[in-house]
Amino acid sequence: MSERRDDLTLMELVARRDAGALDALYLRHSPLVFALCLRVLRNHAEAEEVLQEVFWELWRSSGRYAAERGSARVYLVQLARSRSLDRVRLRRRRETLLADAGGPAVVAAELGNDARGPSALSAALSGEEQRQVRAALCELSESERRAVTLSFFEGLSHAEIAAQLGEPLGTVKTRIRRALLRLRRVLVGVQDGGNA
Amino acid sequence: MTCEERRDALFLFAAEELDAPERDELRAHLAEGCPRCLGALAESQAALARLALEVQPVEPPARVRKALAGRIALETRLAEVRAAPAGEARRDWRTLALAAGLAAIVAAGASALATRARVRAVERDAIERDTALNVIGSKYMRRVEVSGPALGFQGRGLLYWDYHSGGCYFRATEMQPPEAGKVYVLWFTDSDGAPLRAGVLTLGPNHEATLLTEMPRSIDMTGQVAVTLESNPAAIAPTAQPVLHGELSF
Repeated sequence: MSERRDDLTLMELVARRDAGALDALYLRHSPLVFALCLRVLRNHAEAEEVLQEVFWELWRSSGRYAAERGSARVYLVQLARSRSLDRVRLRRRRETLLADAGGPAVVAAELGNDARGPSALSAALSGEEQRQVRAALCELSESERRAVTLSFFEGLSHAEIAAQLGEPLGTVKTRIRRALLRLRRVLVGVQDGGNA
Repeated sequence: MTCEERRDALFLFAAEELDAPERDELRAHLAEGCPRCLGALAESQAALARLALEVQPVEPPARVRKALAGRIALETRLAEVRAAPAGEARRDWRTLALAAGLAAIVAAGASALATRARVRAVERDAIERDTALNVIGSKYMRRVEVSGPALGFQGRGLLYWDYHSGGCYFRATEMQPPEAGKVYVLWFTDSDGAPLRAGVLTLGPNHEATLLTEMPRSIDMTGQVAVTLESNPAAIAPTAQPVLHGELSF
């Protein structure tokens, strides 16, 4: 049975309140979900909390998943990115409030927890699919890649990216759009892992 | 604009990179239920999610899996507690009506029902006690004192909060019997002051009340716990000043 069909069966079981099925999905996908949470949040404790939230949400709201809209893995990744970005935005709001109050403005991000470090599990990810994603990112110029990364993984607004890169807002906006459309041409049509 | 021409816009829409006028136009079109564009949107969302595959998987600590399993077990137990009939003195009207109706027809059958109800009540109490012990014994447990003297009330309470599983066990003691037609209701409030109802506290003969519940997920690091006297047991927001109050914090 392919991974995707197997996932679909597990998702159906989760919808019927089968905790064992949720555990199986967790064991299969938590390394990728956790890595994404770490990548966005850059904080180990918060990434652990969001990882738990993502699977808890899957448990409580499994009926929201629609198989025809993508694999379970894509669904989990979308959920993880969305919840992680919510946290990042909340953290920024708090930091702004603290700064306004004259308190410590920035909480130092935890170092040494970068999700891009080597992992024994990297082989578990479909090599071909990962290669295609990396190839898609390599199609971009360094400045485009940087802008897309700040937007996609760090949830920065265009204005924040412009401020960080020291470039005009309009330039940043155009660059992100152009980069995304180039990525689309490569990524759309790349089959999701385990579809075979 | 044709659906084919909308493809790029749909990708930017999925990436939240469209300006308001374009976004609104696309939303209106999607709201019409265009299957082609809805399909293209799903395709775009999936393609964007694949960007996440750029990250190298990282094995999460085992404690996350354990906490998730604990949370599910707690939810299951709470569901069991809620589903089981209350104790003999608190048996609900449906059980009483059913037992009474059947008693008129078959006395032996009613007796069997009553026995089953008693067994389920004992089971319920056992589950409740076991779950409460899990909360109290958790290494992630926070103990919050909930007091009333400053509010001119003699009762007091203790909240045991397992912040990893979200399980809460509240125990109030030395409580005055509520005024006629009123009940005690337990509330949480988040850091923004929004009230979140936890449940009704039913006093036992020893002036004590316990409640097993879950901490609302919107309560992160800080909040408050309070008990009020309410005329409406189903009130969704407190209508009276608290008789007991405590601060939730780390």
